[in-house]
Amino acid sequence: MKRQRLILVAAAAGLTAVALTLGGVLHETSSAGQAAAAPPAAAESSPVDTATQVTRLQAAVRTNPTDVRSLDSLGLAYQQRARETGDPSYYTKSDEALHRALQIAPRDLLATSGLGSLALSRHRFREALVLGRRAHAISPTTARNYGVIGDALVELGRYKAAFKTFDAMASMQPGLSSYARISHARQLLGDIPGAISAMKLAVDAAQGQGEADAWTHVQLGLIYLSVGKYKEAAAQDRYALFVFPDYAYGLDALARAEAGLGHYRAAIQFEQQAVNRIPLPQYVSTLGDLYGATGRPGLAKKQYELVGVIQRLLVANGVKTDLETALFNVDHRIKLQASLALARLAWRERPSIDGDDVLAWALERTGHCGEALRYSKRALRLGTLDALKMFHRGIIEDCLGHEQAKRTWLARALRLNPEFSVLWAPVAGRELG
Amino acid sequence: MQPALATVRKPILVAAALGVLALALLLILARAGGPSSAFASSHSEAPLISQDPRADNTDLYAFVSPDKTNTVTMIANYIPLEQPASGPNFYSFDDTVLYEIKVDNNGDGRDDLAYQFRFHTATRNPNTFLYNTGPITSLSDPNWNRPQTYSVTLVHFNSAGQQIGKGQLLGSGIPTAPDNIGPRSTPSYNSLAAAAVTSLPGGIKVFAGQRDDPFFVDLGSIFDLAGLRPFNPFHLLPLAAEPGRDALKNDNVHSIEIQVPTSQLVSFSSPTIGIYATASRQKVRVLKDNGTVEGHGPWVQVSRLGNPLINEVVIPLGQKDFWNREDPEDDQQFESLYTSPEVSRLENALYGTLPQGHAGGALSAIDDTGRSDLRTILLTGIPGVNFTGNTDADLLRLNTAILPGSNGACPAGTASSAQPDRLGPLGASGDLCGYPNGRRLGDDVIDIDLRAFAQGYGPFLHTALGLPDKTPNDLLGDGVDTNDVSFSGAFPYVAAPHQGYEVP
Repeated sequence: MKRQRLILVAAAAGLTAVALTLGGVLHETSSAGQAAAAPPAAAESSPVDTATQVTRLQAAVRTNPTDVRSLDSLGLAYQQRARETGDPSYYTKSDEALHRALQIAPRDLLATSGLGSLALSRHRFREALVLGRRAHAISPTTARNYGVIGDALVELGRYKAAFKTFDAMASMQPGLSSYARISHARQLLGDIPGAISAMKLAVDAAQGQGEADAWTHVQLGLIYLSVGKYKEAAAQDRYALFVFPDYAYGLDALARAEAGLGHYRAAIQFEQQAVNRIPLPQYVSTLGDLYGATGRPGLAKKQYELVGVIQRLLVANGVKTDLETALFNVDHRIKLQASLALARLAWRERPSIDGDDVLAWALERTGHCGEALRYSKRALRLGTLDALKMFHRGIIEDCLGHEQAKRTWLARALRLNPEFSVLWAPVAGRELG
Repeated sequence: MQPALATVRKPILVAAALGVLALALLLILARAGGPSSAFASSHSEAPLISQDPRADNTDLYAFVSPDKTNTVTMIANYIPLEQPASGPNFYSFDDTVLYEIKVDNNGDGRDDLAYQFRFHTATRNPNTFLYNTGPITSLSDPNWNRPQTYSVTLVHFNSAGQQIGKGQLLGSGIPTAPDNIGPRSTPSYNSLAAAAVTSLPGGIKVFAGQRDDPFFVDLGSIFDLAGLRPFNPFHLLPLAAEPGRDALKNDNVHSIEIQVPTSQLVSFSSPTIGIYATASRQKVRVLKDNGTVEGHGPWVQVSRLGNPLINEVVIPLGQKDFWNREDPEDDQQFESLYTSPEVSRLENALYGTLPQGHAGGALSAIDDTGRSDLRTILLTGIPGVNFTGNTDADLLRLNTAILPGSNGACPAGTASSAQPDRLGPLGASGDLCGYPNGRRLGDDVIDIDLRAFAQGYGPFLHTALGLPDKTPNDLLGDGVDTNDVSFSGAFPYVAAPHQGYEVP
């Protein structure tokens, strides 16, 4: 308790700093002022905007505190607000509302699956799996419970079971939610054409729905980005921003596509806009990397300091950020030994190929290259076409003195996605000579 | 608040609240967008509670065409709550969805024939995201950058419900009408829409495109603890009475309309047909099956609609996905939801008199179990009107031998030039050409259902068929009695869509 209070105070202090640095943007994005600033398309995707919905539901709950349906809707609306604003305190509020609903109706379907999706958002995947299965027991025929279960299984590294779950979901209710998951699964398996065709079905299903429309185009763009098709990626991102202006996910994806094309000024501009909109740690970190790559270490350092502040704020609202924090720290040579310990902790919570990869990289950076190779092999075991994971493997092979393997992996990474990372693609090029 | 409230607290308030919001939420979840998408996070989360408006069947209508009584017109609407001023997003059918209108003509609940609609969108200029780059003056105008065409296929099924052959292609490359944008983009909208009415072999007419949403309902009040403004004083939380407000005023929808000679729809056994509409999406798997071409099946039904409001008020949340993918022939499994309806319990609790209701309530006690009357009107048809046998199937049943007059009305079953009664057979005139015998565009299905669930069937059905007519239950309604714009007397009947330029 006391510890959490301290973190909150620290976070609050940090927030002030953030607010000052970014000209008050974070404050604005996390306040109700967002509603007015929301693009017209937001109003179009639902008859009332989420902020208004929240206000109405709060009133309904005040009038009738035992009204389960209003509590459910309020809990879900808070999660949507978190998504729209990036303010993680909505997670805490959602948690409260949904738990109150469960106290009144212990077998309530929406509250159970809502807590499942909340656990996913907070990266509490074991908890999400339990909740998803509980919701499934309450209603075995409801498709979205399969989504909660499958997403949790993916992050826990249980891919066979996850893919079976997604297949079941897509055969009981094909649509945006299941198509996007099938696409993601195919991407994990290295089936890029299959991932693209499934995401195109999701794109069709989402058309005309504002945010969802934009989200599917961004996802399609990210698949193109992963295989070095920067122009195709940028076109998808621009379309997303056309139908849903100022979309943070679209701005971030476009920034990375522009960086791939070597347009660093545009990349910085779009990433800055993404950060202004929703200050997610990975956006801020990318922005720092972009400043670093363009010879502005002072500006880069400022961004890196913000990353820590935001991560503490997330932690204070129940979000687990160990894996992301470990990768960020290792990449930027911050507290290496502590970060290795964090990566090991994160891996136990999240033994996915991402957990494997981050642990492998942390081990390499701290000189444990033999153990690093074991985890790197695990990270690449599905045949995923991920240039960063291939690059990590190449560096680990190098550390072990395997010259030929090193060259093979680094060349594969660069062939797949020549600009896979602002930070590391130049290193890969230099290592290959 | 009100001193009277203190006396009605606790059990009733809790029970009512549980039910009330269930209804309201379900209506909203079904017709509107809830929280639409994924959640903020660093790992890639796909939406969990996504709406699927392009495969969401909002309403189905079927009636003997008043201007051509040897034909039946069937209208299936999709994409709820289209805002006219929605640019840069415009609405269209989904090229990867299979849309169908299906007919059972021998009372076994199984499909006998189906009209399948498949859409295709072209991009005339790949260098722009815009819907149009100048005025659209004809359906082939190059300024219309995203024109959509469609094919119609007629499929027959054998007595086991299996498809016979590949089906008969009735037409392909048929133009849809564009969305109604404004006086610059779509200057003579009505002639564009008229040009999209297409004749097919065998005397069939089709139309597909944007239209005014003919549904009318006071969603705003119903969402507020199942309020019915004219009945406000009798609600558990009373307010002054008010006229209703149409929440769908100014909203558009996408309509698929088909007019078919009756002789092509009915079998020898009966003039009554059962109709439902569906939307199906392609099933995909993580590991692609060899030879599968995406966008061409196999299909999974994700939405169905026979009688209005069943998904919204009869089927509970945990069974909605399941109900939507089941076929009407298996509807016996849902029978108890019809015969012990949640809505009737709710009507008792909110508007009923003591002991099942509250001191300020008005309705006579409603039976909330053993409701064979609801099975009759929703699952088997009404004997003497549109009965199709004892098989339960949620179908919109239309007796094609009951012919309407020039305006679509037939008081007590006799064609007349009178205006249609919005309450159909539940109205004073006993207009048998209205819902639940088929469904006309102007039928007030909210009021009809509210009364039917409250056992207030009106004097005509009471006298003619012995259905209960409790009072004042037979006066229930949301106060929205008509659509915001009037319908046309000829195909495609549904009013032109609201224009983005006019309706902000």
